[in-house]
Amino acid sequence: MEAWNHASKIEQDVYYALKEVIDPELAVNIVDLGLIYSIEYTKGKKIEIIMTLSSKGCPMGDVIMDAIRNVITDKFPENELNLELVWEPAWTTERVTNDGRKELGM
Amino acid sequence: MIPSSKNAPPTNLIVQHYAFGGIAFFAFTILMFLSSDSFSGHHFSPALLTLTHTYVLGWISMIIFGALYQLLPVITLSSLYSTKLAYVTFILFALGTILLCYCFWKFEIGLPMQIASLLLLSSIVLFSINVFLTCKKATSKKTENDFIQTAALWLLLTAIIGILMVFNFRYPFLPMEHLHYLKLHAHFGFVGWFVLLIIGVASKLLPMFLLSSAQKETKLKSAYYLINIGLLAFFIDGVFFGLNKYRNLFYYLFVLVGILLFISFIYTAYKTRARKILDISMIHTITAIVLLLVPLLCGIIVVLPNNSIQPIMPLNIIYATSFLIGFVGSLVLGQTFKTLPFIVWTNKFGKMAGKKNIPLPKDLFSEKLLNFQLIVFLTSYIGLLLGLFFSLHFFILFSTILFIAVAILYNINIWKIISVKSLNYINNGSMEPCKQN
Repeated sequence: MEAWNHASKIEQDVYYALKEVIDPELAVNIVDLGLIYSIEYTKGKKIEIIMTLSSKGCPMGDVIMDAIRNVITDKFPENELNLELVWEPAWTTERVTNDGRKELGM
Repeated sequence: MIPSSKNAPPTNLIVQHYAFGGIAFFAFTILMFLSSDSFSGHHFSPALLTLTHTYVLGWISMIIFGALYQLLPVITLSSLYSTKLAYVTFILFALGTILLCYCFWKFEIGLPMQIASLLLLSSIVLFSINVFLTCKKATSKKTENDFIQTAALWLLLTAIIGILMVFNFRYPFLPMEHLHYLKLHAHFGFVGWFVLLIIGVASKLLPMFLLSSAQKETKLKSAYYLINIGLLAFFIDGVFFGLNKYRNLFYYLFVLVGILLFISFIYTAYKTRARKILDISMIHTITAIVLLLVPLLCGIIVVLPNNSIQPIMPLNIIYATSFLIGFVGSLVLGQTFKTLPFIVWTNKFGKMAGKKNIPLPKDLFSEKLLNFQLIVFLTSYIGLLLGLFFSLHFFILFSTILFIAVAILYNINIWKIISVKSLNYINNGSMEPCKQN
């Protein structure tokens, strides 16, 4: 959560909303897995999310991305969503939060 | 590049493979019970031929075909070349398997068996075309693709030798005795098809499931070349020179080192995994990798020239049983519940993710039953091996009864997954939908 302390109210709300999106294989939410790289609320009321996946070709990739769209559309109907998937920097287990670590038994 | 389950073929295509596979496994266990005394006889007997083909074609290969249609798009990052071809392959393969197993059971070596082998060969040709053309479209050229394509080639060769043997029953034309070709047929199927395919798929999936650190492909590439060189030399020697005990040992060592490199790859993935708590499907899978050591050890004894154990034990049967039931069986029993729930879940619940309180893939089957399945499986497997080692028929018979229990547990869970209704799941709290908070 430390990295998000300087975020605006709406960015914080998006952050918590994304905790509702669960990785179906790992049964851990995508925020605690460290899949969300950045959340930005722009002047044009646009929510910009940059994310990654734990591996390229993850069979659940588009399901997770669809779930993010569903959550944001549901909770922030006034805002436009720009969801970007990136592979750099590559995801590593170091990105997993303490809560995520507990759930994975790390 | 968007990773996408949208590349996946229709769910019913995959599901019908798993359903057929589950029933074939049950049929296998019943046949095994009915012919439990055949384990103490020669391995070239109608009962053992029926058992082996029901198992390797009806269950294992059928599940592999289904899983591969789903996994190829994941591995190649492109869609399956042809869904229609996959449907036709399924029908031909299912009919061919049923007819072939019936013919072996009755030992009818005439026209029906020839038709069965032609059906199987046609289906395998179509399957291979689908695999090659899908891999050709691949946007990422990885070692896994090489393993899968080469495995399909070995499967084709296995089927060709099989069909030659079927026709040779009625019109003898092969220059060497039947057992010689059976040895080639079995090893191309076991090592060329199963082992290469399993390495190709497992090296992609297991690190993904375990959340392991990325590894270099050196071990996998070396395994690929060693196994293929060993098999190719075995093939050339077998066809042109008739094999030799000392040269066999040499080929076996190539394959052995290749497989050990794969085990080492999986061991590293296991040690570096972030996901410390393993689900029961993964425990089944890791158990399979450990059980692979049994046939590897047996294989050394089988190929050692002039060993003193061979004449007093049905080592060939123990070798094949520990490989097929211990390793491949345990792997498929576990991985069925890593793949099928995801396939069905994506179809039934994927679009609702993030909208409603929906279950997770693991909620679609009973983990308790799966846990029980693993315990019963291990008990029956150990019982079977002890029965074979010490020629104790009671142990073998008792194990075959336990295997029926394994097949029933396996099928209950498969049908639980296949028959899941998304609306029932969401409306009915008793089905324990997951809490997404």
